[in-house]
Parts: sequence; C-alpha cells; structure tokens
Amino acid sequence: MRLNNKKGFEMSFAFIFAMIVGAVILFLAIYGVSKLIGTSQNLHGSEVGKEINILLNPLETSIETSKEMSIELGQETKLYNKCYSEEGSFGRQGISASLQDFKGGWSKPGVESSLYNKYIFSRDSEQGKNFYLFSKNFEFPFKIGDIIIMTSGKYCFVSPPKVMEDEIQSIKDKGGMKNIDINYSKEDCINNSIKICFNPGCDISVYPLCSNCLNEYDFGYVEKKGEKMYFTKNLIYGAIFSDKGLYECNLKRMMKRVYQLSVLYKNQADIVSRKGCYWGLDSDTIIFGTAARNLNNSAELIGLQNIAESLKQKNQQALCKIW
Amino acid sequence: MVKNNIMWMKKTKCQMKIQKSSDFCLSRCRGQLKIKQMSFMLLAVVLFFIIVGLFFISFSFSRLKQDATTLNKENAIATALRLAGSPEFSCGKDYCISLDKAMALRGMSSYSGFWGVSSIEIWKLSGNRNCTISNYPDCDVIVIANNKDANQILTPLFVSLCRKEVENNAVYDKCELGKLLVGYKVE
Repeated sequence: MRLNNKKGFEMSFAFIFAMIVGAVILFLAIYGVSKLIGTSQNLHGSEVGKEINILLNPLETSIETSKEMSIELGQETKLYNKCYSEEGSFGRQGISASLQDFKGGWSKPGVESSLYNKYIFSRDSEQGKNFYLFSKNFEFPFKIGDIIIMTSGKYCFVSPPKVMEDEIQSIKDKGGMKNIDINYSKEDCINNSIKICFNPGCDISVYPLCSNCLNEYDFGYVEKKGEKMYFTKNLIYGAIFSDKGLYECNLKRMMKRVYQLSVLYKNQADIVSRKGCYWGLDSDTIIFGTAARNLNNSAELIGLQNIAESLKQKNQQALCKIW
Repeated sequence: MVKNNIMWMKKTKCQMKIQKSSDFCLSRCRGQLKIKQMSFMLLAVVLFFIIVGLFFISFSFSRLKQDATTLNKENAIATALRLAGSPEFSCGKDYCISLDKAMALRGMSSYSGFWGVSSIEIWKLSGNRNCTISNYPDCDVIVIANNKDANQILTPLFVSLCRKEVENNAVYDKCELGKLLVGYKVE
C-alpha cells in the first residue's frame, strides 16, 4: 500500500543529512568564533595590563618630587590592582585589565602583569576610559620609591591645607588630575564626587597627629568607611586614594624595600670605607631597616618616623654621606 | 504446449523480477554515490576551515610573539631611562649612577628579577675588564644582573658614573662618562 499525502513534502536522506551536518558545522563555527573573541579579549586585557606597567615607568621620579600623566583607553576598562606583600624580598603588585564587550558585559580579567619596583595606590578596581595618575617621591629617611596614585572617579577636596592645595594645583596646572576639584565648602562639590575633608563628615576624612611639626599633616590618619590608615608625609595621598587592604599591603612592601636599601647602604659603606671614607651609621641603618621590615600595620609608622628623623639628622652631619 | 507456455511465463516473470531488482539497485547505488559525494564535500569544507583556523592561529601567535618582544623592548628602554634615578643606582643627580652603590648591589641576590629585564650592566668607556671587589675601582664593567637569556638585545644609555674618593682628608665625587646597558629578551 502506498501513502499519498499531498499536504506533506518528501525529504530525501541526503537533505536530512546535509541539514544535520550543516547545523553541526554552523554550531562549531559560532562556538569557535565566540571562544576566539573571548580569548582575544583576554589577550587584549593582558596586553593592557603589561602596557600599563610600561607606561608607569615615566612616572618614576629622579630629582623631581612629583610627576603626572593620564592614560586614555579606547574602551571602558576595569583595572584590577592586587597586592601580595609576602612574596619574595619585595612583595609584588599585580595589575590586570577587563574590557567591556559590545553587550555591556565584562571579559575575564587578563593575565596579571607583575610589578616589583612600583607602588600603585588606588581602589581595588578602577573603572573608566580615562585613568589619571600622579606620583610623589617617598623618603623614609632616604628615598624609597614613588607613590603612584591611580584614579578614575571624581574627587573633591574640601578646604585642604595650604601645602596640599599648592601641590594639587601645581599638578592640575601641568594638565594632570582633571578629575580632582578643590572647593572651600562641601556643597560646592559636584554630586557624584567623593568628598575629602580635613575634619569629620565626608566620605574620606583626614586628621593630623603632628602638633610639633612644620606641617601638622606630616603625620596623621585617614578615616574611610570607619577604617583608619596612618600616614607619614607623602603617604597621605596613598591613604586618601587607596583602599585599606591595598594601602597596608603597599606600605609593607615599601618597608621591605627600606630593609633592602639599608643592607645596600651598609655594603656601600663597607666599599667606601676602604678608600678612607667612614660613614659610621651602618648598624643604625640596619637596625632601622629591620624594624621597618617587621612593621605589621600603618599604626606602627609613628615609632619608625621618629627613628627615621634622627637617622636623617645623623647622615646630614656625617663627613662621608652615603645617601 | 501448456507446459511450454507455463515455462515461458515463469521465465518472463523471473526476467521481470531481475529487471526490478536491478532498477532498485541502480537507484540505491545512485543515492549512495550522492551521500559519498556530499561526505567528501563536507570533509573538504571542514578541512578548509581547519586549515584556515590553523593559519589564523599561527598568524596571531607570531603577532603575539612580536608584541611580546616590542613590549619587552619598550620596557627595557623605559627601565634604562628611569634606572639611573632609582634609589639603588642614583648618585643624587639626574642620569648619574653611583659606582659604589652598583658594586654593593652586584652581590645582592634579593634584587634578581626586581626590574623585570634580562640584564643590567654598567660600562666605563675605558675598557672591558670585569669588576670584582678586589680590583674595584680599577676596572670597567659591573654586571648587576644577567639571567643569560639566549636571544638578548642590549639598550644603551649614556650616563655619568660617580664614585666617592678621598684626597687630603676631603671626600669628593669623582665622575666619568659611561654606559648603562639594559637587556631585553627577543621572543
């Protein structure tokens, strides 16, 4: 018996076979392309991380006290800043980037670019197309390195101390830190900006603890989300713009470098002493370096600050200066 | 006669059966041939895409290696420019390296890998004698770091090389021209 259904249509085996195999090929092609896009985004994120590492080199100061620059990325980017204080002799900082795709989602962060000789202070992740950076040198009592501040959000300083106002204004005059405003009342700040006050009642509040110093903000603490971060001198900027964990970690890394530099200066003193140039601060410097390396948190900075000041005075009086 | 007729009819029936089965076989064979043709075509298409994919991957990997080398080179140049200002090298002036510091740094293994470059060498322009603690300062080359990468290119930067000297109980900085060589790896 033969069925003759005029409404149906006949499909040959070849047609069904072609349909199935075609669908499989299309699926594989789409899957492969989407994977490839993901991989290339990840790759691009890794490249951005590495490039940022290189771009930060010009921010390192030599005899100057501060430098500024901005990084413009073509697309919305999230930069992740991680810090590992216990790794190796100097600790490590890891920068990775995640890029926004056309659907508004975020790609997987790229491979972390490792930095051993830089100290970047920022929030745990900064998001934007433009990133504003400036650096300040840090001496404790000899030069340790540069405090690099990386921001993307808007900040408003409310009645900062004169020294700080002049420093920020000089950076702004050179075309840097366009995202920072200085105002004399909280109400003048734009709505979505992070407000920094030098008294209570702001997103970030800075308190001085140095009553006998030339600048009362030479030592003090920053309070952010109920957490305190103690600073000395230029570390004030790190404490203002950084998250607590990252600040404490970078501080520990810097103190590890203090120790390594104190060993270096001791070795250098041994070399110059053979030429008849006697420094005489070898053991004091090593003791100071060891104390710095063992710093547990920023609250212990004040004790070290006093030793650093006395060491600085002794070095100034020495006939053979090492730093 | 009847027997003959019956025999003829049986023969014809049989011939018809053979004819039908051969028709069926022919159409089945044609179908199989079409499937074979399609399979070969699909195989060719898949192979084509695989070859294109492999070509693309090898191309992007070679680009990646080039990018890595470029980034290493940029890093070496930027590091060379900034190294003279770092506290481990600086003599306190711009583009000036303290030879005493460099000699002290030479033996510190904790600094290996700190600057993320393949090698760092300091050369006086006077010769090529390697510096040791016993022959310093009468020597020419201080090797701070060298991870002995096979494919390495050196980036030179002219700098002042200063060291402390004592004469008539007065300490002074004795300076001369030299080169800072920072090496990067070619991927």
